[in-house]
Amino acid sequence: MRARAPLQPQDKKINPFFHALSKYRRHQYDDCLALCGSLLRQNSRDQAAFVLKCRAITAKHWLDDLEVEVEGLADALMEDNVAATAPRPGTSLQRPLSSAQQAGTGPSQAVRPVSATGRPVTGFTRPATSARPTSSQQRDLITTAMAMSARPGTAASGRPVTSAGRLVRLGTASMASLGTDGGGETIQVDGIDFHKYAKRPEIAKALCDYLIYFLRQPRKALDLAAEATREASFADWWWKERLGKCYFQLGLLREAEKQFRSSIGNDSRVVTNLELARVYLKLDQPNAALEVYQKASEKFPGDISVTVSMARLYEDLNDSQKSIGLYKRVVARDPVNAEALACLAAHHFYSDQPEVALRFCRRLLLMGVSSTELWNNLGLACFYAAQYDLAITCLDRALMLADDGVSAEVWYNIGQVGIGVGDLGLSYQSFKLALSIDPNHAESHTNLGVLELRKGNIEQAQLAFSHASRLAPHLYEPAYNSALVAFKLGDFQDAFNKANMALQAYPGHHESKELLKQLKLQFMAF
Amino acid sequence: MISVGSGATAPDPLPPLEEAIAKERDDAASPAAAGGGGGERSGTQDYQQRKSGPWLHAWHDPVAGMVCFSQHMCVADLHGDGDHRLVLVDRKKRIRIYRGTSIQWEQRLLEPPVAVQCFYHDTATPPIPTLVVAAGHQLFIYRHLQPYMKFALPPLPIDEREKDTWNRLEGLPEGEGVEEAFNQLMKLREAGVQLSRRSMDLLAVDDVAQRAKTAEEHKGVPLVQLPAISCMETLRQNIDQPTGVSVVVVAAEAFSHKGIIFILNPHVDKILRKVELDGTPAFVHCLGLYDVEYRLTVATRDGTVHTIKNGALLGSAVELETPCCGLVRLDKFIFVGCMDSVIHVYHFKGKKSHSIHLPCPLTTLTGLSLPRLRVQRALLVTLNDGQVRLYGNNGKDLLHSFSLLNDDIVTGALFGQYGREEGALVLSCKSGAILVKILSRTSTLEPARSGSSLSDGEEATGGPVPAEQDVPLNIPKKTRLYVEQMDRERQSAVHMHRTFQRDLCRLRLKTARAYVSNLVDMGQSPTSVPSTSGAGEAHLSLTADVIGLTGPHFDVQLRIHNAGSHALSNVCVMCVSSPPGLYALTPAMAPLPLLLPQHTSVHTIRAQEQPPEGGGAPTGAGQVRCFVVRMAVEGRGHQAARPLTTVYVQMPISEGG
Repeated sequence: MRARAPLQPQDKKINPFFHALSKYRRHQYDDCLALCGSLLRQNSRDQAAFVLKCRAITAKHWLDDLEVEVEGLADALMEDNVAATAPRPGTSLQRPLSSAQQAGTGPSQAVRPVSATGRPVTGFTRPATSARPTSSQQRDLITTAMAMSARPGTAASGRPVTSAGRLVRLGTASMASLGTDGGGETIQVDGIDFHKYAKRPEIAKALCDYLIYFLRQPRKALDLAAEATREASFADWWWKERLGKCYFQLGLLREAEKQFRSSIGNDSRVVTNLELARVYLKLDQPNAALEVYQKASEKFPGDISVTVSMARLYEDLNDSQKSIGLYKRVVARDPVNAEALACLAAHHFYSDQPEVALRFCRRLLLMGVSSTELWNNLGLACFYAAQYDLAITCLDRALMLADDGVSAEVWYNIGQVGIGVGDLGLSYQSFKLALSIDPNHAESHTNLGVLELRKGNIEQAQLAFSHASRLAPHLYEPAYNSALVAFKLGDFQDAFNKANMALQAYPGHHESKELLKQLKLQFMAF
Repeated sequence: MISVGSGATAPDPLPPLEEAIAKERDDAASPAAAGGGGGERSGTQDYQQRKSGPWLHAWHDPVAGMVCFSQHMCVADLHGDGDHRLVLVDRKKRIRIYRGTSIQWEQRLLEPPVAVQCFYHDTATPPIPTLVVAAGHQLFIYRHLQPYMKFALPPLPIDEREKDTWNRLEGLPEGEGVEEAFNQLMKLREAGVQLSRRSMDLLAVDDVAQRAKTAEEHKGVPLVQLPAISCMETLRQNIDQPTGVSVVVVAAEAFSHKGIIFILNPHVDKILRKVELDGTPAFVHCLGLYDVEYRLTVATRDGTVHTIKNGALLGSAVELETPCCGLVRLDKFIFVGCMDSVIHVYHFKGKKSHSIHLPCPLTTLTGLSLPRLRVQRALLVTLNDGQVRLYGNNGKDLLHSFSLLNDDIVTGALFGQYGREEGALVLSCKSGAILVKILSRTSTLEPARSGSSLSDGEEATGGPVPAEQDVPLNIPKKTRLYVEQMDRERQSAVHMHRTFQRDLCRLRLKTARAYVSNLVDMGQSPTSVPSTSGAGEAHLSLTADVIGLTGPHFDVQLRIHNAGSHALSNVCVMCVSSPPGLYALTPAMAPLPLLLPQHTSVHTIRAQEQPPEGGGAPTGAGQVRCFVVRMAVEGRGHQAARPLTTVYVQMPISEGG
């Protein structure tokens, strides 16, 4: 076999189309686009070049829309796809099984902190997938929706994403950049006659993808796909799947469901199953989604995306046992799946096994992930697993890597370390620093209040607690703390109200119940 | 306090109906259990638990429609045929007699009844008891299910002066003399005279015109004060046998806050004895024999428990903290149920033994007494959440507890012989249902120890050991990794410690540096450290929120909290946008009202993003810096160089005009 000679610049005999194709295969999309552009300029009817250009542009701007689901503020507020208005617990994403008291699934709220949606803090932030607030919220829907649709990780004062914002803006931004890019002109789709193209499935498929992923015009794609699927006499699963996708993007969920189901009937693929499950999740029917996942996992045993999606769903439903079991399965198959590793680390950390969490975090580190969050988790796991020499270096590294918003969390954790060591001065300063970076960090307020109380500044402590419970009504600690302080000061009415608020946030809180009992005794004495 | 023992069981898995009946029949191993009306197992589907602890479910009628209290229920062998009947009266003036699972007899009463009792008035054969229903101030006696006699309690003596006052009013036409009568009665009351109900009504009326009307209503009606019966019991006269002749003990309210106990002879035509006491009696319990020696325990509505021994009121009375809602006497102990969900247990001589704390208020308190068992006595408590609890050992052990289905609450409970079954518990529920349970013959009223038989399916947690001790703690397993790490610690302990301390010092230094730089920058945070710039006790804290989704209009809401103890005046807030010119702030400088101590005042500033000069690209979000400054007052010092507090507010990105 002759060794292939390397390409020389003077070797102009290479078929330009072949050249473009090889660039495409090597993921060098810009070069590919340039070459296709020149080909099309020579012969504007060159179908092969047209198809390749479509494919290149699509591949350049492709976004895995199964992973990325951005629900804008308007969608969250005016969600009327939900079928049941008063769902039974466990059958809707808005009413997950009431937290940890259900047969001991996972640690209680006293051990594992709860995020603003009312579910335990997860290990891996996915972009806005589990954004629906649970029904047990005290704040009204708008504030919660605003806090939710802000990008996770940023402070709550960040901006919410408006409807389909990311998708639209990406499209527009890249259009603009393409204009300056010499090679590729955008293809004018307005004048295209879909009938003609429908008869040529290869071109039509490339065009459809282009419409969906680059131009973000699901309507047009819908027309094209409808024509094409008719041409293919409804036997091609690919067209039905694309149809379903377009319907989903347009918000016609029931039609999307139909298309996906018939596509699965033709030829079941993992992707279609996942998209069908996503439709059910959007309709707030987690049990139907679970069924789809089950069937898919039977058909494609061991497929990771199905398992991961199922695990995510169980986590959203607050069933952490099943979720963890599935993540373990994922890790067994795919040892570098960051999401599974992170979730397992969080779970073990909060179940009192920090050394196991440490091992998972180390594996993530070995994979090359190096972010503030990971170093922070490593530091905490080391500290609580009693590996003190490593703990502080990790936290230091986390601080170094931190950009603005996240360093508040790191300072907060440094404060916790300080409390653990007994150095209250260090803790005080760290909490203040955390607050200076993120003034809405309720946990820092609470801890600062406790430290002030120790120093004897009762009013400042009360102020801090009331600030914290105003910022985060889902936390029970500040409410309970201010109830206790009010009780000690003799303000029983205030203590009673706050203790009830604490119980609302965490119904199993033993101390709040004791406090209420004592208050009842006091009230009855009159 | 002695902790309550546990005996609560998990309910048995539900066996089908026929199997359960056959099983119970085998268990009982006696034909008598299956016979008799009370043994019918015609439970409805709701009560699928055939066996629940020592209780066998016998009968449930969910639509009986009789809501009875404990005093309205009684069991007796009304026809002398050994088949005891259940007599129920309710406030709808009905009396109903149940035989087995069906109604034998039902009639209307003349007045709403207060209590019902059955007792033997003489020793004839066959022994037919008398049924007496107390209502108002009268006793209605039934024999052979026919109304037989009526006995009215004598009216109470009224003070002469009161009689005179009313007599005087009689002669006068309407409206006249009412005021004098009123004043007279008021004087009498202040002098401590017990007034009749009519006078109390008149004294209670405030309105003058109304008084005349009230007085008018009572004219022409003779002034009598009749005692109002509140409860009734029977006391054996000389033989302590179930068919022994008994006397009737009636407790009534005489005047307000005064009660009388009447003891009537078995034929209910003569009053044998009368005892007066302070406080309206609510519950009465009898012990002993009338002819020999007897004790009556009386609980009054104002929370006192008196004892009457042989007709004389004893001086020592038990004072309760909360009013009493149930009274039971078993042997030597008095169980008093109070409204604060506690049952106090007293020795009959008056000394307190212990208390039983309940999770929720109790509705009825009944005593169980079965001579055939070794342990003869137990206490039955029903709670407000539908639970029915059985306590043994003088209330120290919780033997068993079950809950009624359908959120029902028991209003009346009675334990006695029903049908041919000796240990039957009849429960009347708030929904009008009647429930009959039978104490199983194989059960003893003892806490379950290993080998002892309370019922199958029960854990042997005898004694005062609480059930919570059996639940294992949720400790995670020791992992191998943990052991390895412990090893590492043990081996390189010194090195770890040194590294840790060095890192800790470095961390402290770093934190302190960051903190100081934070302070020096005069508060980058919206919750800044208040500055004590010699401006007196100026403890201010300032927080800021941004309202507005997309702009270009935003509202910055400042909350200024004065945490000090003095009010602060002459302060104003100044705002600056940075980069300058990005936001147009209205108002840029505003005086604040008087800042009261411990008070948060809210101030809003409108920020509008200006389009960039010269049409350049939008520069992104900026900051708005707000300062709270003390204003210079004419002729009084110069303006402070430093602001009191500062806040830098990060504005969100606006989506343009």
